[in-house]
Amino acid sequence: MNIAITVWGNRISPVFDAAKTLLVVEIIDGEVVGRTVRTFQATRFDWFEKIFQEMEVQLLICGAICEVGVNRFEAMGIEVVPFLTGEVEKLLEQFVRGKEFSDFTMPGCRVGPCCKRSGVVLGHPVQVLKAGCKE
Amino acid sequence: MSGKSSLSEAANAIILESISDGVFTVDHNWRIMSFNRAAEEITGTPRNEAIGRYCWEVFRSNMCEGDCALKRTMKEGKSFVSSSTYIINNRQKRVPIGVSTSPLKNDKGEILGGVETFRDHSLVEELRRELSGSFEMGDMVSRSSSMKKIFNILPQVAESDSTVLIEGETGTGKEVMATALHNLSWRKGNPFVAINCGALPDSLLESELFGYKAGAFTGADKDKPGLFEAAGNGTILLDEIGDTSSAFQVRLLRLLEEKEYQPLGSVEKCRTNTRIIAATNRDLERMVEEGTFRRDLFYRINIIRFQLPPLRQRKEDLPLLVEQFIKKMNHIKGGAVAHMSKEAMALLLVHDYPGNIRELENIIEHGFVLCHEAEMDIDHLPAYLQESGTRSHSFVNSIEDSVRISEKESIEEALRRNNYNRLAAAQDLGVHKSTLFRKIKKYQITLPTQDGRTRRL
Repeated sequence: MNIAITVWGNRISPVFDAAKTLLVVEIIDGEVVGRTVRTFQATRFDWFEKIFQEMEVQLLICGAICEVGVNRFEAMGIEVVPFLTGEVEKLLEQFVRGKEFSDFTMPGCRVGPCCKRSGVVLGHPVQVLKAGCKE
Repeated sequence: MSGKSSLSEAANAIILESISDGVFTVDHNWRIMSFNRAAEEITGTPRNEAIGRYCWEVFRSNMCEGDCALKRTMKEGKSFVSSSTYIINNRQKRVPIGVSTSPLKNDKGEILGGVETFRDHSLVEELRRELSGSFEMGDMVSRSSSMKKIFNILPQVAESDSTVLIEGETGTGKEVMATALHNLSWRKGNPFVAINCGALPDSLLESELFGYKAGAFTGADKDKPGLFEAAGNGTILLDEIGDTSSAFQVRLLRLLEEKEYQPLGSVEKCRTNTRIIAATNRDLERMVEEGTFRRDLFYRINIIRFQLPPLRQRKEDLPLLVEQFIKKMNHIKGGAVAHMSKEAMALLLVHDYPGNIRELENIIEHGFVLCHEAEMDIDHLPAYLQESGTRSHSFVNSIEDSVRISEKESIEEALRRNNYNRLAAAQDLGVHKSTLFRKIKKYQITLPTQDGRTRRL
């Protein structure tokens, strides 16, 4: 499966709306097999739609993102895991191992998948990942 | 001494907790050291979760990644006041804020970190939106009294099914107004169709509007529905109605009276429930007097008439329109232009806009091609505007010169008329004699050695 992460240096970009760089990672059988970096303007949702279709992206991992943005992506059929923070490599490591994202949740998060009582169902491995918020 | 110090620390803590501005401090590693109650409320992050975390994880501002005010403060060791920005709170809502930053120093002046204070501007933004909302109707914006009158009755007109006539120069927004009327009416969910009647010859216009039957003319292989059928229960805008032929006007009159039309080649009539809005940039009343527009049709379409003022008569709307077009272009083109510079706005205000709002929109679009900064400036505007700006500046100078020359000539003439008697000349000009003396000196008017007063003596 292919996932997209908005990045800021080696970290997840803190605010999607102001992010400029997108990292698209191809994961096959629990291993990262390809990486592509693109620059973008967060307001251009038509660009994302095109790129995500081209690169067959199913999941977007990002920092803080406003509700409107999440709705736009969900309308495109893209699952969004918002309000994550931390180093991209560590997050990818967790991801391919199928572990939860709780260590990467932004402080004060009340909108992560666990808070919404829903999970991110991934193609591989078949499991539910949750960005558990700290209580 | 230590007692005083601890008292002031306690007092500071109380003050910090009681103010409505969010305040947090960071160390050199951008880790949050303190976080007050208002900061908790505005960001939605509890203090115990915020302390020790990187500031960008908690603050979540659109400035964090690029133009961080705190970073500039720490780098330059000075304060920055009131940058407008927004944060995303823990409920995924954008919160507009104003930010001020200062370096955090110890008694020795060493920088220990930075302090950021921020104020929630949600209410201000909400009020601003409400205020600007009262100047909006559909896609139209205006603060001018003439447009305000139109805005006041537009919803009532939209509710009715009466035919509307919109008059206005080219580019004044006739189609935008027709769209607003459609969108404010119960027909909103139905199609809105616009056609420029002046651009098509009669036969083509009729086939476009009423459609035709197979075999109606050579090449008509199958039935073609017209725009009235396509519009259904919607609205049709007949633009440039003043440019239609007399024959077409007769057909249109029949349609308006009978609510029926006949497609070309058909023997049967079709009923229509489409609302008709007519628009023109010509003076239909004058055309009726001249006999170039049918009087009966004029009275049939002139049930409710709106006259859209040209932009040069509502220049108070320019800032609002510029703001609207900047927003629109930012959305369409994905730009990041925030506003127009004062100098560029001044230049826009002196222009006469023969092309009206459409011309203004094109000017802003031109600016978007050239402007890659937050502020659109004179250099980004079309060359013809910059030239006219220079011309109007030289025109201003020439007016001042003209006034000066004219005043000098009037004084000389009055002096001659009164045989250089300065008191009589002053009375003649309706000014005090000291004013006249001052102006004689200013314009270096040479007086004869023997003036009127001397001669009289």
